[in-house]
Amino acid sequence: MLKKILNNKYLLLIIRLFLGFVFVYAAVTKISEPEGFSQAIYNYKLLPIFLVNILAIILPWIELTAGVLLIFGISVKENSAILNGLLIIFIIAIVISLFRGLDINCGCFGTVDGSKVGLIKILENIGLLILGYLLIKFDSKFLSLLSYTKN
Amino acid sequence: MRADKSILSYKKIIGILITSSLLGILVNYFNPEGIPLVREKLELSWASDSLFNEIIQDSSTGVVDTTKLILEKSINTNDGIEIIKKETEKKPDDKIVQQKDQITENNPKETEVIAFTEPKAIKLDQAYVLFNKGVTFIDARDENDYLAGHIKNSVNIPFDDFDNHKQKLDKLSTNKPLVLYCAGTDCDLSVLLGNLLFEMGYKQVYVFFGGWVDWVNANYPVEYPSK
Repeated sequence: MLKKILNNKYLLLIIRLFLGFVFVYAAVTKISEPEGFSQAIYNYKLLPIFLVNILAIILPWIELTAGVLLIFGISVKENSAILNGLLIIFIIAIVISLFRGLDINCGCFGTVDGSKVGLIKILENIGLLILGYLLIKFDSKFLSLLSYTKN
Repeated sequence: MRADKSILSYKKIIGILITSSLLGILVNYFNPEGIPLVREKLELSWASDSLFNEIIQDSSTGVVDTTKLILEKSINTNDGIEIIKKETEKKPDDKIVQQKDQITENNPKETEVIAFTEPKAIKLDQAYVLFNKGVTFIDARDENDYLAGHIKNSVNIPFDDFDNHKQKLDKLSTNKPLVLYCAGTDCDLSVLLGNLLFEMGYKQVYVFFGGWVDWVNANYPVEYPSK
């Protein structure tokens, strides 16, 4: 029964668009302020310094590409898997920071929201992770660019 | 209704990752606000005790030669901040001497300014000397940390929320010394804010390594507004 509800093409479309737009927004805020995002990554003190900027440069573009492709319904499973991979990394980074007692900005949406790392951020990411999992499991081809061009 | 059984294409995943990464590097390369591929280490000169005492004494007479900044050796810290002490010959810095002359001629009241060539790192005892001289302390931590406790009479200008607090700088002369601090030796907010203020024209910026933690441990004057 639950499976039937979750495997609804309209619901999956909404999830796909929501997840896509969330990551596109997150990417744009980071791309517009690379220096700030680099600092946000550095504040986690998890990476060697030579990797901080390269991650600050490529990570938002991975989010942007995967987000845009999700919105258009292209390679939904693959892009959802990429975003879920990122979400798992984010969750681990936040948990480690909490254990280390770091009181730092999340950097999840660049420097726009300014929210701190904490339990709420972990729950938010877990929520997105579940949505991504649904797309990996059920896929969403409804109103995708490919189905449109085929028609 | 069944779950979609199609298998994830790892080739597609790798393709998307590589393409988007290259795109990011390319855009960053052409972006005027782009950042270097490798983040630079923050560097600060560390003022020796003898040098610091000289500067303090010279400040009182109004005759200052910042080119006396000598004695340097590398100290690598774990958090990517490199503190350097240099051993160089005393060379006159034309720019600073000229600046000093202009200040002396045009504004005799400002003769005590020391125009550093970059922010200087200081230790607890040096910070305490400046505190007793009435030098302004700036707390670079966020507002909650500041409210939980701070060095007495310090001004809170969080680096992470600089735009909302920068108006506090209107009351601070660029010709007066400033001491910046954050949580301790493991934070870099004071270094970042120090560099920013220095770029904004503050000529004498000290960064107090050890910060709040060292200050409290030494039982120096503090304030706890939230209590």
